[in-house]
Parts: sequence; structure tokens; C-alpha cells
Amino acid sequence: MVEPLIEAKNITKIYKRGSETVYALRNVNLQVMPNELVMIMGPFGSGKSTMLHLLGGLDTPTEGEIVFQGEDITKWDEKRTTEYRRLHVGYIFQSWELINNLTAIENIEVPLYPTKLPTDEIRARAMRLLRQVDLYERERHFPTQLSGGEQQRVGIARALITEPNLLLADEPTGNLDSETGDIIMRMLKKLTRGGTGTVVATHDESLRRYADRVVRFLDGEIIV
Amino acid sequence: MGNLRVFLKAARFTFRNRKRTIAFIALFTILSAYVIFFSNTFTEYYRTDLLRNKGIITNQIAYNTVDQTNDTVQEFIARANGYEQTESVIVHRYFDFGASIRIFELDEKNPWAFTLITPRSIATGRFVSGSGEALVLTGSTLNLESTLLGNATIDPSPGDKLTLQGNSSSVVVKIVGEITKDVYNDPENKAWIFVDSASFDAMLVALQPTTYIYEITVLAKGNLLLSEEPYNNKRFLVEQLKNDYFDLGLSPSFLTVPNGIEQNIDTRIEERNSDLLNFSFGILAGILLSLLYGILLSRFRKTEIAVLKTVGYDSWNIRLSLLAEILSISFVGYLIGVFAIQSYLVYQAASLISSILSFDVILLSFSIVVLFDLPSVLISSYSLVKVRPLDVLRDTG
Ligand SMILES: Nc1ncnc2c1ncn2[C@@H]1O[C@H](COP(=O)(O)OP(=O)(O)OP(=O)(O)O)[C@@H](O)[C@H]1O
Ligand SMILES: [Mg+2]
Repeated sequence: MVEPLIEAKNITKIYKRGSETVYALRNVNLQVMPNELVMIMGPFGSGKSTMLHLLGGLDTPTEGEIVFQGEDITKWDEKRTTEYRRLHVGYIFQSWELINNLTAIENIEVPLYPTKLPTDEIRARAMRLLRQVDLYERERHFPTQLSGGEQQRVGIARALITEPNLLLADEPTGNLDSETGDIIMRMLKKLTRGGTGTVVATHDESLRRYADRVVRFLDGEIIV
Repeated sequence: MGNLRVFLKAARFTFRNRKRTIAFIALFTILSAYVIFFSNTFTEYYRTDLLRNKGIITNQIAYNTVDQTNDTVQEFIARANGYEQTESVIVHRYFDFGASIRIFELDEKNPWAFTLITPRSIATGRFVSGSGEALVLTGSTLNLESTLLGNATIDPSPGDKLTLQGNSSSVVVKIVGEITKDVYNDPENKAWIFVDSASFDAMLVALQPTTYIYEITVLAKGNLLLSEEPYNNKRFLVEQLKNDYFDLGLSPSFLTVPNGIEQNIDTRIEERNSDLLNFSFGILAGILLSLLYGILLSRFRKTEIAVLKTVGYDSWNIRLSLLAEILSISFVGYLIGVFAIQSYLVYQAASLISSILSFDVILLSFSIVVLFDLPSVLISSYSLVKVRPLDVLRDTG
């Protein structure tokens, strides 16, 4: 049997807003297998983003554990979590979050600057990715010179440059028209291979055809 | 390797942010210029006031052939040098050549320590910087009739060679600059030639003047800017040097009035205090500017830092990228500041050597400007290192 890439067990996440407690997630279990594109679907406020943040080591759950390569990442200190994010996670944002004074190619390279890889190796990798997301010859363009779909493709390439095991995308098509959204999703689908697992959070029902598996959230709980 | 790359890339990317960069470079330029200007004032102040405040200037005649006085003067110099209160003793000599020429020795290593002229007195050309070089007064004519050269009258200018012919040998010097005429008011209206020490020694041998004059400057120890020590040392030295003259059988001949010291001190201290106040104001402004920059930078770069943290940048990567931005902005500002002040000095002084910022000034002001970066580096890294990506990136879309 194939081991899951990452496994969230009995996750509960509580936010406190003054005297009010919000259950963002309640006893959620989730597995992501290698080469699998899991889609978390659900209405606004159902806890999709919270789940991605926990998987990506950006936040810690109130209860439960997240097992990656046999270890519970929620127990790690800041240093190991940072390393985990750098080595194993690629994060794709709804609003891309590209750095405006960096060109497309530099935005893609950014995660590798602190590593030991030689600069020309980084450039070579970034060029390869740029071609993969069909942005060849746009390398010197700044984010403001690119369309939303193009920016999101740069965002995807940036997430991929560290060759992550886990690709997390929060509403990656949320700011795009449906045609461009399809291009992005096809791309994510194609890139989910070679052991990588992808989790896409969305409330857009039309995207479910790209999923290998759909998980439905409602008020912090899995309903299917 | 990785950290170095983060640093260098961050420095490069800084300049892509036009508006922000230009605004802060401009501020740092103004600040640097202020600091450089004052550093320069202080160093200059230190130099021009050295003689006035720390110097005791005396002169003695010596005979070129009979070396009795020469030896005594040498002994006097040795004693002056020996006092704990003495910082240094600088000697200039001069003699008259014929009826219309006076030749002065210039210590090219201490050009400022000469009562008649300093590098600031240069009108054209440059100051003496090596051997075989000479300065003349603007528009002076050298009437050589009383020398063995004959009846020639020449009008020397920079670039000309000047040959001074003695009984058996001659000395050739090259004129490298002219001194503005307003530095002197010589009743005898002699033509003055200033030469380096080596040429002067050669002339003593070749031209055989019967007598020559020692001008001996004794500098008192102590920092003019920070204490009254030099004044106390000077008081002490004046008494000692008087005694030494009597002791050696020479008559004391002070060119500066030692009794004027007391009155001098108060005004000097006042001036010094107001300079220090201005300088402190600059330092304060620098620290405030730096804090402001740090606070603004923390806002400008918040989202970017959150993204960098998400992709795995650690605290040091982030600190370095902030450091790179702040250092490069202030460094460029500093360079422009140096350039501005330098141009101002050149424009003002219209001469070369005297108006070039000295290495001391550059070093001092640069250190101050780098120190200014500290508050902004500290405040921006303090507030940005603790940024949690989630707080910034949540629902930004
Ligand atoms: N920092 C926070 N403080 C308080 N409550 C929070 C916080 N973050 C999230 N929540 C709450 O947790 C619940 C789940 O939020 P989450 O962002 O995970 O939902 P989502 O499914 O991603 O919604 P959307 O489709 O709007 O992105 C919501 O009720 C939200 O208001
Ligand atoms: Mg969300």
C-alpha cells in the first residue's frame, strides 16, 4: 500500500474572537496521496483556508496532528517549520502575491536565493519552469506588465521551483475568469506527478472535474 | 553563499523601487552632506586653529658658516621635543638671497604649520608635495641682478624652471604653484620663493647665505575639541621654552604673544561648543531620519516579507535583505553627499589640494552615516522578523 504524503488526524482549530469561540475546523481527517490532486470544496468560511495553512506549516492546530514523512509537524519549532516550508511545500495564493519590483523570472527564483544552489542552476531551473507554464519570453516582465492569469502562472512556477512534495493552492482561480481558470487548473493537474501531491481549496463547483478526489467542508467539518 | 546572494539581490532590487529609493536617497544625501560638512569643518578647524591655539612660534637667527648658534638652536629644538606636554616641533627656515629674494623652507608634510602661507593660499597650480619644487607669489618678478646670474628679470609662472646660481654650484627647482598676493605685506617688497626642505638644504650649500632664520613652532598636546588640556599645556610650555632660551644663552623671541592665551581660550571654547551643538543636532536628525525610515520600511515591505516567509526565508535571510536595502540607500546617499560637498569646496576654494576632502574626514563621516543605519535596521528587522505570514496574507484576495 502507498503511504500518504501527508496526513491530518483529528484536527480541530479554534479561533477566539473576544468571548466568542469559532470552530474553524472540527475533528477533521485528511490524507493526501502522492500524485493526487485533492480538492477541498465548501462555502465561504467553511475552514478550507485554515486547513491549507495547517498543512503548509503556516499555523498550528488547536488539537490533532499532521504527519509528514513519519513526523508530526505541529510539534516542530520555528526553524524546522521554516525548513519544511522551504523544502517541501509550494504555496499558491489566490491573489498571487508576486513581488512587484522583481521580474517574472526573479519572482520564480526567489525561494532558492537563500539555498546553496549555484546562481546559474537556479536560473536554469526557473527558465525551465517558465517554459512549463507557457511564459517563455516574458521573463523580464514585471508583475504589473502581466495579466492575472500570467501572474498566477508565475505564482505556480515560484511554488514549484523548490521541487516541493506538497503543492497547496488556495482559490488559485478565484481572481480569474473561467477560461483562464481552466488553463491554471489544467496546469496544476499536469504538474501533480512525480510524487507530488496537490491540495486545491475552492468554492467553485465547476472545477471539480480536475480533482482526483473531492473533500467537502461545511462549518469546519467534512461532510462527504 | 545563500545569505550572500540574498544580500546582494536585495541590494540590487532596492533600486527598482524608484519613488521610495529616490526619496530616501535624497534624505540620506542631505544628511550625509551635513555630516561630511561638519566632519570637514572639525578637521579644518583642528588644522587652522592648531597654530593659533596649540602653537608657540619663536624664531632664532643662525649663522651658516659659524655653527655655534646652529648647535644651540638644535639643542633648543631637542629640549622642546622632550617635554611631555609637546605634541610636535615643526621647523621652517628662511634666508635672503641677494637684496630682493627671500627663500623659505616649506615642510611639505606639515604645510598647514606655517604662519605665512598654507595650502589655502594657493592661487594657481598646487602646493609643494615633493623635492625640487617651488612656489612663488602671483605676479612677482624675480630681479636677479644682485645674484651671480646677471641682470635678468624674470616673471615666473607654474611650469617654469628656476635656476639659482651660487659661487660654485646651482640648484634647480620647478615652480608648481603661485601664492595669492594678499597673504603678505612685505615692506621690503622682496620676491618670495618657497621650496621643499631638500631643496632648501641644497641651497644653503650652493648659495652660501651668511645667516638664516629658524622659525620654530612648538605644538602643545591635547585635543582642542574635547578639552582645555592644550591650553594648559601651552601655558606650561611657554614658561619652559623661555627658560630654555635663557639657559642656552639665546634671547627669547616669541612671534605669538603668550599673554594673549587667556583671552583666546574663552572665545575658542564658545566657538567649539556651538560647533558641537550643530554637530549634535545633525546626529539627532540622523537618528530620527533613520527611525522614520525603519518604520516606513516595515510597512512598505510587510507583505513582501510575509511572502518570503511563506516560501521558507528564515529570520536571518530577512534581516540581511533589510540590511542590504538600508545600506545601499544610505551608501548611495553618502556618495552623492561626498560629491556635493567636494564640488562645493572646489568651487569655493578654486584650488586643488587644499579643497579635497581628507581621508580622515571621509572615514569619520562614513562611520557616522553607517551608525545612522543602525536604528532603521534594528527597528525594521524587529518588526518584520516577527511578522506572521497569515496575519498579512489572510484574505488579501
Ligand atoms: N484569525 C482568525 N480569527 C478569527 N476567526 C478566524 C480567523 N481565521 C479564520 N477565522 C474563521 O474561521 C472560519 C474558517 O475560515 P477559513 O478562512 O478557513 O474559511 P474558508 O473556507 O477558507 O472561507 P473562504 O471561502 O471565505 O476563503 C471562518 O468562520 C473564519 O471567520
Ligand atoms: Mg479561504
